[in-house]
Amino acid sequence: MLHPQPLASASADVGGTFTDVVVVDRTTGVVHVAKAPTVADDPARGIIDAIAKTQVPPSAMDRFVHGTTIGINTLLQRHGAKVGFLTTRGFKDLLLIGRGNWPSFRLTWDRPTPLVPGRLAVEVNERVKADGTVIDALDEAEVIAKARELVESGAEAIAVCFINAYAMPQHERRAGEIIREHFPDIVVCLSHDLSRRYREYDRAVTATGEAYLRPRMRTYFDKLSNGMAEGGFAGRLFITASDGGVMSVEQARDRALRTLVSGCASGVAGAAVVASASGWNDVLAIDMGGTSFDAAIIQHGHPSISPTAVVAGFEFQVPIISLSTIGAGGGSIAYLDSAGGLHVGPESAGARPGPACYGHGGTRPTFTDAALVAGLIPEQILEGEMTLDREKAIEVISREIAEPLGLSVSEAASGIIGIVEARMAMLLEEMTVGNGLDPRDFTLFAYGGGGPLVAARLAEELGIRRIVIPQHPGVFSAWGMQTLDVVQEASVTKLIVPSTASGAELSAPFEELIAETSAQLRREGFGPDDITMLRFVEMRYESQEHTLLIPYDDRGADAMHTAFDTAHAARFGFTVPGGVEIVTYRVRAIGKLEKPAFADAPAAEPFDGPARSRQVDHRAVGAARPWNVLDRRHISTETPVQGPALVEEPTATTVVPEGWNARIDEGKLVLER
Amino acid sequence: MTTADPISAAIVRSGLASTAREVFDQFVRTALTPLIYEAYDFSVAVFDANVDVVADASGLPEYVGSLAFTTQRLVAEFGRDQLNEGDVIVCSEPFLTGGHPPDIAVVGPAFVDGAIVGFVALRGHMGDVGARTAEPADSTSVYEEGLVLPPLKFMTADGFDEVTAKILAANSRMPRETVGSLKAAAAAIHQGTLRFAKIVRTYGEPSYRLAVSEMMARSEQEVRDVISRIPDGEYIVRDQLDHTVIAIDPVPLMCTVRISGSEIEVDVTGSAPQIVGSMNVPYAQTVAACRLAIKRLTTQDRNPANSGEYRVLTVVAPEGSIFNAQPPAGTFLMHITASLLSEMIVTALQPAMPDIIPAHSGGHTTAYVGSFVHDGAYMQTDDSAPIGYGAIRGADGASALQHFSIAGIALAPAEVWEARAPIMKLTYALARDSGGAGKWRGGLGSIVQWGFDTDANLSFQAQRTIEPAPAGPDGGGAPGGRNDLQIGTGAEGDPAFSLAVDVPITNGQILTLHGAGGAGFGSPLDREPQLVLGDVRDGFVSISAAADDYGVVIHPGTLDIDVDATRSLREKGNGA
Repeated sequence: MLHPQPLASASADVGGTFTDVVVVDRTTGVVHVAKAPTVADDPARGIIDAIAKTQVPPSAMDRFVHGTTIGINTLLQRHGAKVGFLTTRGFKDLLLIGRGNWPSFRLTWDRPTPLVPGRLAVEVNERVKADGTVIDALDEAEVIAKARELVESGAEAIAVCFINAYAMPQHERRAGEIIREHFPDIVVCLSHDLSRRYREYDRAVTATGEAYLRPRMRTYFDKLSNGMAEGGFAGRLFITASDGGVMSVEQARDRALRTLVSGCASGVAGAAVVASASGWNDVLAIDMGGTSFDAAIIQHGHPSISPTAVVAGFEFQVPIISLSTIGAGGGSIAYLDSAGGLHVGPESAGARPGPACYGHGGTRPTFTDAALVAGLIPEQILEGEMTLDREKAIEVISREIAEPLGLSVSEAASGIIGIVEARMAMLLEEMTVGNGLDPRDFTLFAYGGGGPLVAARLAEELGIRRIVIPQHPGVFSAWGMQTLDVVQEASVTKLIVPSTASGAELSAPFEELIAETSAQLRREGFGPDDITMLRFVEMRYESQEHTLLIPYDDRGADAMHTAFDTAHAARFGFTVPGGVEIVTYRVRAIGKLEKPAFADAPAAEPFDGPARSRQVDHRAVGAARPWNVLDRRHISTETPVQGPALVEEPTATTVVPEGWNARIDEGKLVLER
Repeated sequence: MTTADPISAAIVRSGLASTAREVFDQFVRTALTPLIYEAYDFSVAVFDANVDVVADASGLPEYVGSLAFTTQRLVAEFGRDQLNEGDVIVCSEPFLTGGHPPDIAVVGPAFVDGAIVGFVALRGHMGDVGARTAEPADSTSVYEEGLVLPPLKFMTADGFDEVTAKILAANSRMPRETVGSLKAAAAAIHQGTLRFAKIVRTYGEPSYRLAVSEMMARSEQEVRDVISRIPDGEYIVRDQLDHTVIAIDPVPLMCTVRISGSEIEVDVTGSAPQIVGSMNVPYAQTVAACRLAIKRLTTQDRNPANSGEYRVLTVVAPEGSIFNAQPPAGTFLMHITASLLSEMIVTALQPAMPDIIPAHSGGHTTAYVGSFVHDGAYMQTDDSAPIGYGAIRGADGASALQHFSIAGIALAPAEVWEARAPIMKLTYALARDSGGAGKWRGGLGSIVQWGFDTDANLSFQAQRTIEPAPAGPDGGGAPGGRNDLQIGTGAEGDPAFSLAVDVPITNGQILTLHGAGGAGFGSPLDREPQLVLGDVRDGFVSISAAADDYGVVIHPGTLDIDVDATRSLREKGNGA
């Protein structure tokens, strides 16, 4: 573990065109950002090329963290493996029927095509009850025969999901052994191995989803590992997961689904780490990009986790960081409906043609056009690599919005910004006030290209008094992932009424989950002192369906009941007399990785050039007037900047309205009022 | 006083929609009855001060538009001047709400500066209110269908009305769940009114009014644009209720749709008078059924709905008709009759809009409700068999979906039921060959089987059990499969039931539910042989039906097409 040289870690976002690499010097906290063309069939080459531009050699890095979009793209483009589905007698059509529901009000419906066609679904004799009683033993000869049918029909992978396997997995386990023994080249995914939650359709979708992705992702991960080694990297390779943790590439080979929505998750989890390093543990993380605005709640230093992920029309039983999303980004288009009502988004101009001011042929006004006209963003961006066309922005806003509504261009521009900010504020209000939380207790952590632009306005709407903008906010999702720990999530459905269980019975279901997750972390090299084990139960009033997540402690049934009543009253405003029950036990096992030093880096550079200012017109702020414009590098720890001011850096502009001051604190830009 | 501005109006619009959503979500999370949290058997709407819908969040489609009627009548009945800040009123009188007694309407006024600026309301199936049985299909009047709550204040600024809560509990088989769900509903509505008031207060009443009028004008225009494309004229369709438990003969239903310019009139004259039984529809629910049809025909892609969409609609329903039933008619199963009307309106216009309206679907919902005592507590279980939808020009019909009137309801997983009740799901399958043959095949129906490890009392819902739905256009085949329920050993010949109450099932017996398929579109002889082969490989069509219906010969061993035999069979014009 010891390394004589200063240690660095790196991370990469591999996009369709460019690979962005972020290298963090963990002793100084200096963050280097570099970019190189993506090499489609050899992703490691693009990564190594980009690393070379940072002047930090791959051999000096002990950690490389990678967030991949291969999984989600494979799913969206339907390029996955040919999967066979094996299930309990009577349920062969489970994946085709689903749960029978469809969108309201439609005359008919194109059901999303299941990942497994009818011809590749087979059933075998076996059945167990919810309490584990075996009604029909597993017909092992039939498993071999049916698996052979699937293999002969071309299946590359087989997903097995038996009814009630969440409670009694022995039949699935045995079926898996038999298939692996007879067909060693076939990838086998067992539903209970991925999820111990009830709801057979969701678990079957989870198993088939994993089987669909796993062969492709294994190929990708193997190529990546080899390519990185050839490029001189000898450290540990981690892959980011949707639950806000990372896992070793070895484990990722068996957990393809965990990577599905890891991009957004890494940003939120990184925000939690960076903010809590300064002692701010209750955080609203917001990320505004080109098409969407994502927000997440962090309490006591931990992001909230949802037990299922809805992706591409499928609901997978894999934990993800809970995100709320609306279609409001820099590219969101402003338009008038047939009755003259003004709307902004969710339709987005995307990267092409993009906002009108990009000059790529966009003819409809977007948020970014409005921000340019209002003076919030400069005409020169990305350190002068791109010039925005202010005249063009004025023209489209005037033609499409201002003239038809009888407004001035500046009223229309600040109105477009105001509508987007109001929708964002409503979302944050739903997430906090709607869940019994007081937003004034939170710190706002803003990143993405647009986050720093809207943060102050949102904070004012919600009564928040502190805003944190990390270094390089535009690429924070990529570098934030280097602050993450190795995480193992595990859960099991177990209906228990606490009042009828002894203390030992109450906590018994945790034993298996703790044993399983700590064994995995030990395999990843963590000793007992490096492991933190968080225990939760999902509880509800008897005969309710939806549950609340309650941290578990060993104080017994009455204390659990009280904790649940308190949580229910806080969130919904009332309690229900009568019993409570536990539905699911969950643990989050965390293997701590060393964190970067969050130093004041880069140190503020002395600035002696002429003062700059720009005319700014913001609806919430009042009449247009000149605001000071500063470069982030010139702000020091000692002398805070008083608003109104704009703080510019290559990937973002931070709006500091009147009443706020901005300072640098351990590398972060912190706004307070 | 502020003046209206278009920017604030835009913000108010999204605020109203998010208020409806938030009330919906809170109720789903806190209700104690599976019909709410699993089946979304409720609907939420936000109204302006004139009680026009300005935003909604809909669970069951069959509720869409009915809340407007309910809330208008309730506010009028109760008296606007009797309402104070913090009040939540409830009511379950069927002829006021349009529902049946377990459907309780919950309405709260939103106040700004001491004046009502609007209302937030929901109506939902709250649990059990003490009807003769869990689902009294054989009731003959409202007096057999459970406790009826007149309009009353269930919540004020001082808290819940515990007297009403006690009366409700004393009349319910599931007192904790029923009262708990009603309190959850009132709490959610109250939160909604606060949010609503805050939005109006922040952005000002003039901008709020501008937002509302813009929204309604836009929706009205969208609906008129579609209706005006339908040729003027009268479109008539007849159907029937084939089982009502009590009447021996089928009950005839008739609907005339009159299109004139951008206006649409639905006239149910010619339908039977109200019946002795539980399938009568109060006028409010008839209007809701018409509104649901309009929504599907004109703005199916856009949610939420608002009152602007309904300005084009006139409903003619003679007093005393089964579609305008008068007290004390029984209405417990009114949703079956009402959704049949909604489907008839769409069916009537099929020839005029052949590119968006599919061929006929398989049937209604085949469903059961079971009640029994388990571990000393009264317990209910339920399930239904999804049906196939008709094909449309250019696409096969969708297989195994819920009836459109309850499209949003997800069937409860086997594992969820089995974890709490002594029942076990044995089959969950598509019914092979149940899709009507056609160039575009109808969707498949389903077969669902449950084994009971307890004695239980069952009620059944099923329609279209005597005759299948009509065949599809341009030579498309009629739907296959069946709509009924059986009890026995799970074999083909088990005794079959349609709509029925008090059917006993004993420990060890198997309940089978069948949902029929949808009709085909175009001649099956024109279907691509490769598509027929694919259907055979996927198990949707049998080898014999491939030959008999489609004229496509497939080798049973190799599962390949016999090209020569197929050609000669198709030349002879076999199939269909």
